[in-house]
Amino acid sequence: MPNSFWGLARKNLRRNLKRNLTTGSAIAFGFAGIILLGAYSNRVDNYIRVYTIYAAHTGHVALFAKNGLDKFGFEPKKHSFSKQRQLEIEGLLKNDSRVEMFEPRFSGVGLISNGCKSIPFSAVGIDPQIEEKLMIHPEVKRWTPQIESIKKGVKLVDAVKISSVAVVSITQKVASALGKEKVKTEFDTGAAVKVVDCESSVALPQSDASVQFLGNSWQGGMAALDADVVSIFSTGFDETDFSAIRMPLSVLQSFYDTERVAGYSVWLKEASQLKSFIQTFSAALNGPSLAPEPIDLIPWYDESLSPYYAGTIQFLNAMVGFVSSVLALVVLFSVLNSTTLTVLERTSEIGMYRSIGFRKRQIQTLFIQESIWLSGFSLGIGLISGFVFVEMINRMKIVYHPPGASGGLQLVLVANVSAIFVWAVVLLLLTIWSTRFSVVNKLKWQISDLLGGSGR
Amino acid sequence: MSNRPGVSAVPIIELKNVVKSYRLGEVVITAVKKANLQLHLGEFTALIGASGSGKSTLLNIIGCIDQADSGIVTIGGSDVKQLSDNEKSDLRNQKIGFIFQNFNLIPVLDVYENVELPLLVNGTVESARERNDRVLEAINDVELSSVIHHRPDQLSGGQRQRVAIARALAGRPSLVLADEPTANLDSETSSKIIDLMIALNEKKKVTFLFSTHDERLMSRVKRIIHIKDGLLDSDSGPAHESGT
Repeated sequence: MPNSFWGLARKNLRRNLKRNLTTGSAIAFGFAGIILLGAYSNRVDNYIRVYTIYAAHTGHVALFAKNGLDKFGFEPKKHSFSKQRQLEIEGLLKNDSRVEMFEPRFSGVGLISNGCKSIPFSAVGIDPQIEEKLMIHPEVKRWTPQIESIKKGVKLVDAVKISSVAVVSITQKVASALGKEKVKTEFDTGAAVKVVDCESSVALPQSDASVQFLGNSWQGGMAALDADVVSIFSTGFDETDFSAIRMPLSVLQSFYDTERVAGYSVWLKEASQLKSFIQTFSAALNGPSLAPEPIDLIPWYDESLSPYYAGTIQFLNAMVGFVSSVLALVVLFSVLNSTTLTVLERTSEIGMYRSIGFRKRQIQTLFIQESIWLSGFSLGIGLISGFVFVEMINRMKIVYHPPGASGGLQLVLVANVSAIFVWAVVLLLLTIWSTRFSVVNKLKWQISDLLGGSGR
Repeated sequence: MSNRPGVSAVPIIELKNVVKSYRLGEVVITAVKKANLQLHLGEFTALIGASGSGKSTLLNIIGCIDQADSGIVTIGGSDVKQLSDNEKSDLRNQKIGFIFQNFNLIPVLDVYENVELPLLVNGTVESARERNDRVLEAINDVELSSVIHHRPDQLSGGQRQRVAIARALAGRPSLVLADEPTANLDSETSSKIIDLMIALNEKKKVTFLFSTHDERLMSRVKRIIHIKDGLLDSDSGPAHESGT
């Protein structure tokens, strides 16, 4: 019994059932499409975010000497931290309850050789203990479980315990280029390092895990280092996989003959504290009791620090925003078309409502409540459909190859609940607005014209 | 003054020099020309005229669903020109009942729910129980209790018009306006509908004013107002008898 407008509105939906089903389908599938798109965007965003912050050792905040991010590669001495400054910074970081962990940043370039062939390398010095913590971090487990930094061999944290010489982790592409695809643990522990005869037809570089490094010492001379390849890893990107290597920070510092570091990567317990951390830590570092050395604190998402993240997300947001807007417009015009036709067909009914005493606002409310029923039901169907599609796609284990990524990635969709809520509200409001638009225009008519009985 | 038994001396509707014109392109058509009319409580009146004579326009003006260009329309002592749109809505809801030629029932609602419609927005009906009582009384008055849960498509034409009459009566109006209520009905059913309206007029003392061009119905009605080309040219009713 329609003892309220809601009941009357619900019953009225039975009229023009085909049209209402069509409109409802447009809303439901539009919403499901937005859920899928949002799930893809959410997954990619979080994947790249976690990769950038944890797997790439960027941290939530990167701390550099003034202009160090841009100029450390050219003038490392000028744009790096002295030991004294490192102690000051590390003291502050250790005493800051917001900080989960931190790691000195240090990198360098040079040549890596198998004795016969040399190629350029770009080395990152890492703290093996921090590497270990990062790989088992809950965020990494949740969003990038398929990233296995180590494809083969042992982690640096374990390797330093078993090797008597310097240890290094190289990428698959560097390993292929040098013929060093076997790691230290795949050779007999007592086997002697062989002298390579580069003229020999025998592939001698493959007979051991030894590689040699050559570079410029920070003190002005040449730097050289023998090391064992203990693991093969991937950066996840083709471009960097051609030259990337990782070695313990202390080994890399020793190679360049310096105690200085380029900066720090800082991971926070709560990412939401990022802005306040940057503000307060910057002030603390430049406090009166410390040396007046200016520093830069750069958030992880800054384009200068994480160009891949920033570029990808900008593109993704533009694409998702465009497609979502198109879907929302399709829904809007479907609803507008449907409500316009419905209101047109029910003109004399509106006249009847007016003539038996319904006020304009009450008729408007009645039609809006019909729309709320329709869109609410359709959004419910769309929500269920969206989640079913997400689950189906995840179970299909589709592997795709994003541009620039080394190897394939499984297409995993993760629905974004807050975005779904926002879009549901947006679609509901669009539906209400389009209904109101149609009804309000009709209610401007004289009642006699609505009834069609005036003779005009 | 009315001298008919059962008819109040005080008019519930009064029209003074009411004019209504429409513009059709370049042509201005005057549908009602200086109409003067009084309707008293309890009257049963037919407005008779050919198609296009201005019957519907006059009913619309009296029912506050159209506005006169000039003249004064007074309903229950209120000049309708002074009323806001919401006040007119309340007036239609509480003082006036409408019966349409094509019934205008909501197809997805049953008899009970259709009759209940005007009460959903009636501010004087305070409880669901009172609303229920009024709906059942109106349905009982038009003898449709046996089909109370039938939808319009399950009813005959005559039954549908009875539902429309019950809906018009549910708000307990003092005036019921019916625009050609028998136009879509066969003669036998038309006769029954007129009988029903007469019975309700006598039982409930509700004023009825209905338009028709069916000459056969004239003998059943005590007061007949003829309208021709927008002019009220003859009135056989009690007001006429009293010389007003």
